[in-house]
Amino acid sequence: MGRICTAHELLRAVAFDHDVALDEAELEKVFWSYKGLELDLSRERSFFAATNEALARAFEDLARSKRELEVARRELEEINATLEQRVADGVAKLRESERMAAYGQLVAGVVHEIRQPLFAIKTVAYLIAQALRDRDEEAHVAILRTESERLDTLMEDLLDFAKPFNLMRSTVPISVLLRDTIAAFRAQAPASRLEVEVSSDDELVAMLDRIRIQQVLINLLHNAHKHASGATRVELVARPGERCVVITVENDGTPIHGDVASRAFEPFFTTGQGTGLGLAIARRIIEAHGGTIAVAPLQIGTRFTLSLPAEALAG
Amino acid sequence: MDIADVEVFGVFLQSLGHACVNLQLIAGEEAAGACSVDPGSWYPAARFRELFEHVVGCFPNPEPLRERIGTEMMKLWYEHGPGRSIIASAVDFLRYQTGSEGYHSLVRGPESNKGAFSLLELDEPRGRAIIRSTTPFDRAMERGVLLGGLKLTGEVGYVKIENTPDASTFHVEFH
Repeated sequence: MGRICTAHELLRAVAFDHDVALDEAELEKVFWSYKGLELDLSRERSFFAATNEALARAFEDLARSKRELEVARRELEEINATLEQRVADGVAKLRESERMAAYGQLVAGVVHEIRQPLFAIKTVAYLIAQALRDRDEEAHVAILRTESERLDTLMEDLLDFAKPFNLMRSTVPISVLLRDTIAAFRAQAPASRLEVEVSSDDELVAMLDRIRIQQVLINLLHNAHKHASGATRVELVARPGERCVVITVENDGTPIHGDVASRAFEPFFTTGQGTGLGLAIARRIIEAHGGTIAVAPLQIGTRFTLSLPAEALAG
Repeated sequence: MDIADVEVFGVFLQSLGHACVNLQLIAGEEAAGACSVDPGSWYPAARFRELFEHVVGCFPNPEPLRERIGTEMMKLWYEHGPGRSIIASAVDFLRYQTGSEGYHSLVRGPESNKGAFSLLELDEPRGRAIIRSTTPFDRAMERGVLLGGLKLTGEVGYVKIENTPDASTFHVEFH
């Protein structure tokens, strides 16, 4: 700044105030003063460019760090939310299993007490039916036997629904599972005229409790056989879903009513036939696998959809 | 160059710390650490070099900073150190480098390791000088030291220093 003033003062002396010529030494001083100023400014420019560049980089780094922190924060929030949800689910499952364990003990006791006299009733009914063969009263005894059988079935379902069970998972080829299911269904319901079609990728394999999943599928086939009015055909389709295995059981009977569909999996909910526990048991088995089961009416028929999560996918 | 046995005078090291603070290149605890030096004691030259390289290493294009640190150090040496009592003009400053007198007042150790910073030629009427450096320190910083030193007394308006292609030989022009 001192040099600027000096040079400027000297120049002013020439240009504005007096018509006094500077001597050579003074002019040279002005010249070098301005030359020096130019050089200094150039050095200043370089210095500030270097520090500005560093500042710009620091700002970029800060902005990047901020973005990374924001992403990390969101991920943490998501993980936190997932963990909270898992804890909530875990607590709910624990409570449910505790409730079911207590309920199971109670039901097992009641069923045990009922089954003993029931067995006696069934035996006596059989003997009476033998004695009354070819007589009109035989029809009354037949009612007694049928109702005893129904009561026995109810006891079995109650036990199945209430007792805790552990899954016995193994690697199961889905196409084999579906074929075995149909064979078992045919053996249990030889009178059924349902046409059952299977469609599955031969490569599709899953870690499942084969017996339990088969129990669910047979239940759905029985459902179509007994309760889907006008059903002539059932289609079982298995396919890989997004991180899951999806199995659909679709019949062509009268579509399930919306109200019925929404309550179909409630224990003891029935449209007048059956114990009302079959679908509740099915849901329990699927949920034990970590999956879901849903029912939806179609334009013609009803579709049950089983979704078993990725953990069930083998290989 | 090995500087294991070379030491710098405290005021020299302190000048570096203060220069970095004044230029806002360091702050906070780092600045406090760099300036906490006894100006009358001797310190390993490695400490000087480490601090210098650490500071300029934070910048993507540090060359102008290296020079500016040297210039700023000389301001402090002149204003707050012994400089004002030693030199009265730019030429004084150049003469003070004769036989590395100035350099050796601040750096000590084996000759082969500490090197020299000495005036080789001085043409005062033409405003020309040549300085040769064999020190273990940064040449851009030394260019700044010369630049700052020549302008300390304020009577010189123009200083140009070239040290290319040989970085260790400084061709000085001053008017």
